[in-house]
Amino acid sequence: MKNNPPRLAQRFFSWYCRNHLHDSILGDLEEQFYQNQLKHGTRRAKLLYWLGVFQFINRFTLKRDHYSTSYTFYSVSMIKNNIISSLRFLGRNKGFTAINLFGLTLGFSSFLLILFFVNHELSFEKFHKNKERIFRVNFSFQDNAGNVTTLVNSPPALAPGIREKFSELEKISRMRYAMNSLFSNGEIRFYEDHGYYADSLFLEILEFELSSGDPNTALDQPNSIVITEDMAIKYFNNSNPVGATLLFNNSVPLKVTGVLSPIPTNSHLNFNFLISFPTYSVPEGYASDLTSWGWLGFMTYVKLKPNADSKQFEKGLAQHFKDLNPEDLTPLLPRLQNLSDIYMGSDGMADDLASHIRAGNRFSVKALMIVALLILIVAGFNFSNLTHALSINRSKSTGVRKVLGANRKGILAQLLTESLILTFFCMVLSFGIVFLLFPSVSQYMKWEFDLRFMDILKLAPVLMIVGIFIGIISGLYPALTLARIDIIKSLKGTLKITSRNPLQLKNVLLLFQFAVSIGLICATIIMTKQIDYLRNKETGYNAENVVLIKMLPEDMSRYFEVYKERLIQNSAVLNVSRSDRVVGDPWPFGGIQRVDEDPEMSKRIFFNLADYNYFETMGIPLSSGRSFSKEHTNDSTQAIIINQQAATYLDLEDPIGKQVHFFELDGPRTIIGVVEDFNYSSLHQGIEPAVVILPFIDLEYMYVRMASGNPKAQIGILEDTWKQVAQSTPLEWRFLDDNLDRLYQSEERLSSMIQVFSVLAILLACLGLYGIVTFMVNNRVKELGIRKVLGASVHSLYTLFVKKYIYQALLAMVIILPVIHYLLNAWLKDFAYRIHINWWIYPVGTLLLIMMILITITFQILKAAQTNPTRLLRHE
Amino acid sequence: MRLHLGEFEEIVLLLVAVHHNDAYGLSIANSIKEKLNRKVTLSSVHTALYRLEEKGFVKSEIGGATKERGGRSKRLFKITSLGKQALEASRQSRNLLWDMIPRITFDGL
Repeated sequence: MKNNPPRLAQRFFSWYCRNHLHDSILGDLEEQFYQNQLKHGTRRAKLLYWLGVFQFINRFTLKRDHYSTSYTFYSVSMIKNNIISSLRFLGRNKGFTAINLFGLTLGFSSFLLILFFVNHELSFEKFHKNKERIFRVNFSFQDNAGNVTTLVNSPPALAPGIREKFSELEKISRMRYAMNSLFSNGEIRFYEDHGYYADSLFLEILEFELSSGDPNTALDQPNSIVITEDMAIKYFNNSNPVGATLLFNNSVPLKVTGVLSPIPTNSHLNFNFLISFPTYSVPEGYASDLTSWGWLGFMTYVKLKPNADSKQFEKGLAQHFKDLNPEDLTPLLPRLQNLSDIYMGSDGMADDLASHIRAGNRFSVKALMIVALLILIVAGFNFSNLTHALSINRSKSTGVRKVLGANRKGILAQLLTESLILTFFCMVLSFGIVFLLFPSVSQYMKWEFDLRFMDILKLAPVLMIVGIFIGIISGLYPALTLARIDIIKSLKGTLKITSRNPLQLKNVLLLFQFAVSIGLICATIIMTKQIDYLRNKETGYNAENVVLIKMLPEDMSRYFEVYKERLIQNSAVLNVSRSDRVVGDPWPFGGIQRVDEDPEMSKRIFFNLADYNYFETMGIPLSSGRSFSKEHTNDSTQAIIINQQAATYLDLEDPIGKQVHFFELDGPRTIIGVVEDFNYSSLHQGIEPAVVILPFIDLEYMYVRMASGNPKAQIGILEDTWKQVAQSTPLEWRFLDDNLDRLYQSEERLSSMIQVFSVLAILLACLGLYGIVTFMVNNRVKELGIRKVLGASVHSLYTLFVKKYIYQALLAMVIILPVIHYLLNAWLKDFAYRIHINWWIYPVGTLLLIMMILITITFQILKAAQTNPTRLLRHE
Repeated sequence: MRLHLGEFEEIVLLLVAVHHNDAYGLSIANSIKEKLNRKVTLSSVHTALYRLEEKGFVKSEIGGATKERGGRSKRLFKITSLGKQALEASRQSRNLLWDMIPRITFDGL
């Protein structure tokens, strides 16, 4: 054991006591230590010494001498001085400063844009009052095969049937999608498909704002309609047409009882009009009516009383459905979904009516948030690296500052002030840029929302914190480097800020930037490929050159036959048919079973109602049997066509001629044909068993297969013929493949965002690299000269410098590979049909980055390498 | 009030006067232990000294580095005239109070 006072205790004391008392106290302690050592022995003396050191912690020892800092760096004049010298320095390096500011502004702008998008995604339904008490009633049900389906829809009898029954209930309202609605005011006639029939209480549950009219009574009377301002102007050229009349479907006059303020874009419901519910009548031929407890064709919203237990209510509701038909073993299962959860939480739930409900995707919000953060980090690193590269130019002035008495803290303060000011400047600049660019960006990305001042204000504190954080963090590295420099070396001009250590921070930062860039490039490639794949995937039908025409059921029954007749005569028209549901929209389902099966064993099956020639028009090949034909008069009531999946599903080896129970109008139906599987819904889902029967109600969709040709000419034929048939009734047409594209809109939106931001990330990485290479070339000018004198060729010098960055890019690929592979697979999992991720994607992404790297640095290196060595070496 | 001394402060101040030319933290602490038989820590003596210096009763200067101090100099304290006044005031007030005690108080104690 050494006989000196414990070193650690001494250092601890020296650490906390830094003033004029330090020496005398430590002296006293040491003297006392030796006295104690004589009296009590070394061990005890050491203990007492430790004790003494702790006992000395008091206000006298903790106080710093005011003269230990020679000036305060936060005084006004010092800040002024710092700013002036920073500005002079930046002015002297205009090009570099511009690049640096550009990079940071770019980073901030992207961050802001994503932030606005994410903010909007997360703001859904926030504007509703009492949202924690408002629920939508969804229904789940199970068929005998155990398939569970959840629909956002509910039966029509629910709202009137339980209104009085539950004490938890404050208000309940149902709505029905008003699919194809033709409105007219005199000559102004349009089809509208964004609207609902709604119960009178609807506007008291979901309190959408009315700019005129009374929300409590607007929907009370039959034949009332509430429309948005946009629609009011469209039909009446007047934003307040309350009291005016709008003709609905050529026959029903509706009185405008209210005008809706624009529906916020952050609402899952997306409508232009609400018709009072009593106006609705069940179309002719439907198997159900409004007293049905099983027809899931409506939506029901409830508002519970304050403090009511929603779980209790859900249970009671489930019991209610059990009691309706005690013999049913698998009754409908009601599920409450809170309003705030609807937008993000409806994945996998179908809307039977495809009524333009907005649905979000948690994954893409998360992915974008990560991308935003990465871009911000990359921009910060960039700033760091560029500032660091510049700092070699100011090492002399820093040396002079130090000679004049600046200490580390002073230098740090100066540099951090500078980086904070620059960060804030960029922040303000990027706000301006985002404002200017927002309209075009949001159009490109298919965003639906506007930039609102309130949102910006709300995000301002977050942005302030981000700005300060980025300013300090990214300023710290260059500042610390400069604050540490050796005065003498810096003044002599022999200072080297580089080191050969590969783990030097700037190399790590660069590696990170490379990794992010490669990751985003690969993500872009995969997402683009996947969306292309979906677009071009064999769906089993041919949507090209098919025009989809929507019309009112009455018009369909009145005009279809004539129109078809006339069209067929034109050689450009190959086939005409119609159906109840369009491919791409969800199909309804019913129960099916073989005649030889127990009637209890009905299975769920998707179906469509389709007219003669449907399969021919859609280009769906029959694999056996025949399609519907007018020659067989029984087809409309007793025939059914199934797909191959359905044959397996029903366990039929030779299905033609077999009989099944399905929508019986006149006894069991005979299977007359089997069609090859085709994907009737979106490619997110696989092909499921489906059947098609001839319609027993009026249909709304008509298909015309045209010979390939100029789309304008094709539509011309359709419109001209339509005018001869139906005179003034407007024709609502769309190409089927355009109609299908909207199925993949949210994927495309995500993909286009990722695309844009990956380009930005690469740009940022290249900017950073540019800075680093400039710095390195400046630093190694003499080395270059000497190498040249000793006989190095331009080529060998070039490889010498470039090699390192290529290795770094490769290393970055290795690092990012597992991460990006995992994330992309997680994204692809959502699709039933997906591409396989080829391993070569990653090297290709890396190669792209390497190419960008070479483009960025080649010029600079060649310039230095081609300079006459005498000029490089002449300096001293 | 300016001349007020706490009990411990008074002892330390008296000892500064006692140790003429060699009054520093440790010497005073040792004296308190040996002469007055009181337990005291070095830091409390120092604190008292600094407080006295703040009040202007003592002043300090650097000096007297020795080997057993690791070559560190001592902070030597000297009493000031204000300090002397404070001691005197304290002594007077005590004397005054002693004189006021009636003899009968101590009878039978």
